[in-house]
Amino acid sequence: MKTAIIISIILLSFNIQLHAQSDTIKQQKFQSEKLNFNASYYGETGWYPGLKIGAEYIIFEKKKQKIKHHKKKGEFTKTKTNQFIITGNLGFYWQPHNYTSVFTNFAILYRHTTNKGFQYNFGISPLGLNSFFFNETYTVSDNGEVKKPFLSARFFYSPSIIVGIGHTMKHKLTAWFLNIHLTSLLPYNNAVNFSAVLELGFRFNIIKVKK
Amino acid sequence: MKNITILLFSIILLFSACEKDDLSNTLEDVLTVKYKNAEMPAYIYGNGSKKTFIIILNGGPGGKGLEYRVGGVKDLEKKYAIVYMDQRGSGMSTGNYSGPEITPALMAEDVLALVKVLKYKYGNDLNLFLLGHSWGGLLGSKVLLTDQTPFKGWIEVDGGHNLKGLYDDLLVRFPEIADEQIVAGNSVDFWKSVNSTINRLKKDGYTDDNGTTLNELAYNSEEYLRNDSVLGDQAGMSINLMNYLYEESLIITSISAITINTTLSYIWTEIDYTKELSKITIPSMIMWGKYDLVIPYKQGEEAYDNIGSTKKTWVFFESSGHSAMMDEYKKFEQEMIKFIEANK
Repeated sequence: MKTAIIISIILLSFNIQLHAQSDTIKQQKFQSEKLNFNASYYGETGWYPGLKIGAEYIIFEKKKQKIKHHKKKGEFTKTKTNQFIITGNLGFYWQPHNYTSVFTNFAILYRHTTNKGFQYNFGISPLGLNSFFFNETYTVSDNGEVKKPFLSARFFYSPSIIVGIGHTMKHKLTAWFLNIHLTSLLPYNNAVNFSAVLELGFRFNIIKVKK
Repeated sequence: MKNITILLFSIILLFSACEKDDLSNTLEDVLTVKYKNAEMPAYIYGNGSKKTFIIILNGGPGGKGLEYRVGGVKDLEKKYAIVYMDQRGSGMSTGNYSGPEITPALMAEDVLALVKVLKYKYGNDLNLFLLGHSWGGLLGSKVLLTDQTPFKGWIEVDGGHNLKGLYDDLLVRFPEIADEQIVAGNSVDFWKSVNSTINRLKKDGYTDDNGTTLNELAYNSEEYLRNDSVLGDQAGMSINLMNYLYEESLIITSISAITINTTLSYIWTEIDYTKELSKITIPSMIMWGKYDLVIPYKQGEEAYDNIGSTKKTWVFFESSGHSAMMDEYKKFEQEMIKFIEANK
């Protein structure tokens, strides 16, 4: 339980850090380009519905440009972008019969963007916390006394791997994406368990930069 | 002000109308029992108006309670409340404990904890019956050996109170059925191959792999028996595939099944409650399929002979394999109603 609380505090403070802004306009613009937010449908096994919001920050970016010649189009530039991104997320999903899961995590993503705007995402989330808040629960003590607690939960350390695709968009919604998360739940009974999540969402940039 | 009062009154009325009657004839409750570092869901469906509840103990280990919400069991919901429990380590159960902590004794305590919760929620005057299928037969036997006082009756369906002796019993039963089917001209090549496999396993003796081979062969054999119309027709059986897919997470339940099955693998060689069955004195009904090749009916006869109850019934299903509640679901339902009405 203590570990769970410590992990939560670390993750939340990291999210707050991502929101910090610099004073100068130059820095603001710099940050505006590097800081994005995302919101998505987050479905465990695809169909147990949930929502996720997150912030992501580009920590490394490399653009490869090649000048190409075309008979009809003439000379044009092809750009491929490779990025490493850190992201903090918060969300929930609902398993209607059993529990509501609330989770937060920190992930490192590699994103490749093609010249046409297609994106491929690969990532790992070494720090994740998943909590199941159970529906109607009754606690039975060793001496057989039954109580109905107001809230009953179990916490899991939940690292995950992420793979996905997406495409850039030319407005405030900067891209759409479709990710699959394979998340482990530790400890789960006497071992480990996993959940697979289908995530469909948008990235957007909400920071206005003064010119 | 008047409009606001009417609006508030309407909202209160609406919520009152939505409030579930705890013992209606259409119970659809899901509750979680938290006991000794585990959270175990119990799904309660059916008619609660007569206060007769049947707790289903699934097979496996690693099966799911809701797997049994089909056929003759689901049909019983019209008359009784059926409690489909996910056992410790199975289905959607969660928890944090070590492997050696999981024993039939602890899992029996879990069932008795569920009983306490049911009485807390629905009242102390419940008529409780316990039904165990396959591995659930072993677990149910252990529950009753721990405390049988809460129950009005025990129903064992193709159960496994003596898994230690199972391997040898199967090496006798497989050739009997194989020879019978060869004489009848049914799937002759398959049954000849079964005889060859059994001869090999007799020489090898018991190993975990051989046990698995026999178990797989049993389910495979049931398919052949069904195709040859030896087993009952499951057509018309009540089943809701969408509910099955939606009610519990397939990934989580599948992985839990593998884990608990591995953790409890020792039961196949170590557990035998035969000598203790005489301590079970509540009314009991033992139901078995003639063609059960997972747990042959010899084990059922052994349970019937050894149970200490003076009111005990033997029901034999001539056209059933390991799951009489599906192969002969109408007969299963009739026998269940007869037993429960006589003992509630």
